[in-house]
Amino acid sequence: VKAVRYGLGALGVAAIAFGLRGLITGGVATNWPQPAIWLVLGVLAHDLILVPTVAAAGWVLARVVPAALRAVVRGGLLIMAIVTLVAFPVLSGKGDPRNPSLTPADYPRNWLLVLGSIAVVTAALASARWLAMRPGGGRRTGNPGRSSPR
Amino acid sequence: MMLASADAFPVSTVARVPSPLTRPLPPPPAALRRGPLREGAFRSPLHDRELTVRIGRWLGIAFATCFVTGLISHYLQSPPSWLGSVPSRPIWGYRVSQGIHVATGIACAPLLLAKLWTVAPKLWAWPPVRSVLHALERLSVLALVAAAIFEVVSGLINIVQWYPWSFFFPRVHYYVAWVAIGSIALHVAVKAPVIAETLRARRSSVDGQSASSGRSFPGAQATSHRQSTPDGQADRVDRRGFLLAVGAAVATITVVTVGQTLRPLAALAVLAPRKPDVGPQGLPINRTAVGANIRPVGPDYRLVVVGAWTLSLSLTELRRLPQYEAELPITCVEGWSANARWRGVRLRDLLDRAGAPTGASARLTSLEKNGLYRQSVVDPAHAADELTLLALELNGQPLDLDHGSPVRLIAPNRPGVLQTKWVSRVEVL
Repeated sequence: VKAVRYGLGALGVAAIAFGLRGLITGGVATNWPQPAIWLVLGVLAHDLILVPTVAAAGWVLARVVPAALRAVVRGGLLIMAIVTLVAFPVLSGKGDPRNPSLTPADYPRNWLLVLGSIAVVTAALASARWLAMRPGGGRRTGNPGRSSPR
Repeated sequence: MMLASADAFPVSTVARVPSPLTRPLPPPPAALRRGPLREGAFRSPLHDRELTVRIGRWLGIAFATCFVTGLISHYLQSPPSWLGSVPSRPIWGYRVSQGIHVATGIACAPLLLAKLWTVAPKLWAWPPVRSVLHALERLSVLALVAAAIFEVVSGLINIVQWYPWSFFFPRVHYYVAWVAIGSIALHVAVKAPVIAETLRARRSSVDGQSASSGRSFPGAQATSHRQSTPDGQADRVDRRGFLLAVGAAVATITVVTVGQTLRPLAALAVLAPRKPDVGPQGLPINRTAVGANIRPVGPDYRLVVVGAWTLSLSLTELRRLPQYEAELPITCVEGWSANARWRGVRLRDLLDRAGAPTGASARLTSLEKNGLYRQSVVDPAHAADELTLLALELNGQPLDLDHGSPVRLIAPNRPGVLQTKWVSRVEVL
């Protein structure tokens, strides 16, 4: 077991070294200071912008949304945020404008449609839970662990 | 407790004998421990080791899949000498592998962010560095995070052909992929005892539970090794909800993009950069004639075939040669693909006429003056394949200029960038 572990680690170090060597010796094709800047910027954007934003959103959520609905609402917001991040390139309008087959759709409209669908599903799930937890509802104990979010 | 100490000093399992690498370093002054560095400054029931292991496993599988399919694409585009000839079948080989590459790459976005969220407080660990070995481990995690974010972001940006940088994307994406996969392997090796411990604790707590609660979040009873303290039922619901949400996020972004290559889902691909039926003659294009600075050819156009002797064929002469039809996909590195009916001359017929030996490969040159892909090499397997055409027609009509009029290469199991358009010259190698 130990040998496998050390072997995997050594392979990992070798792969990292191969990648870094390729970047540094790649000349104009890799232009290594550029990727280095992008690598650092990615980490900074994640750790100093994205994570604090998500933490702040979670803090607000915990104070605004009842505990029993938190997982559902958080899930809906999380999916919307992910869709937005992934859709950012097509929403940006970048690319080659001379190529009409590239990004041919009405992306802002489609993005809103997708977000709207997620919001509808989230609201439906949240209301179902809310009704189930009310006294006299389907599950009167208000035990959120028993009522599945589906 | 053993578990707790393993959590506090994961590196201690690497070497138990004190050495310069593991000797504790003097802690920094406590006065610096402010803001996010404060103990418990940053709490969430989702900062949970079992979540980390479970999401990490899916992320690892996705990254490994992405890496392997990426290597396939890299070697198809720039075959190293040791690889020999690339097989020309199955027809859909590259279509499937590159479709998986882009789809798993997109799926990595939520998995990566979720994985990082579950370990977010570790960034603000106190003391920041406990030993030289710990510093090295943190450095390897930095390499992992930076490379993983870079690969996902640069890939997402590339599929809309947006290049806000001054390097050659495929090369850098390739080398950073090695850094990413290497630091993942190293990370798994370093964390193997912690991962095994977490999985064991989960299994034993599942076994210990009564059958009736089999659906509740497994492992949630084992509180001793949690990073978050009060482990109530609400926390468990939070964690289960989080896993469901991450899964739903992966499903959502896949459904709204994968139709660019998976035709049955084309109608749902509302956020994909391509629609497989939008473009000249109902087929997307990657490089336009305008972009390549190509104008329609006149009657003086000749296709030159250089072999044992040289042929110079006008379009009329090309059309008089036996014509064949093939249904082949255009498969772009950017992850879209679409089938089309092509009609034209078999490349192997042209090579035979020029007196090429069997097993020859060929170099095709485009009318393009510049451009990285103005030339491509057709290896022996593809050159001999009866489906490899120099196409003159697409879906029953003469080729559109954007599709490579007057003549383009179309071959099975081959990246789109190597399906040379506007062909003017074929050389036997």
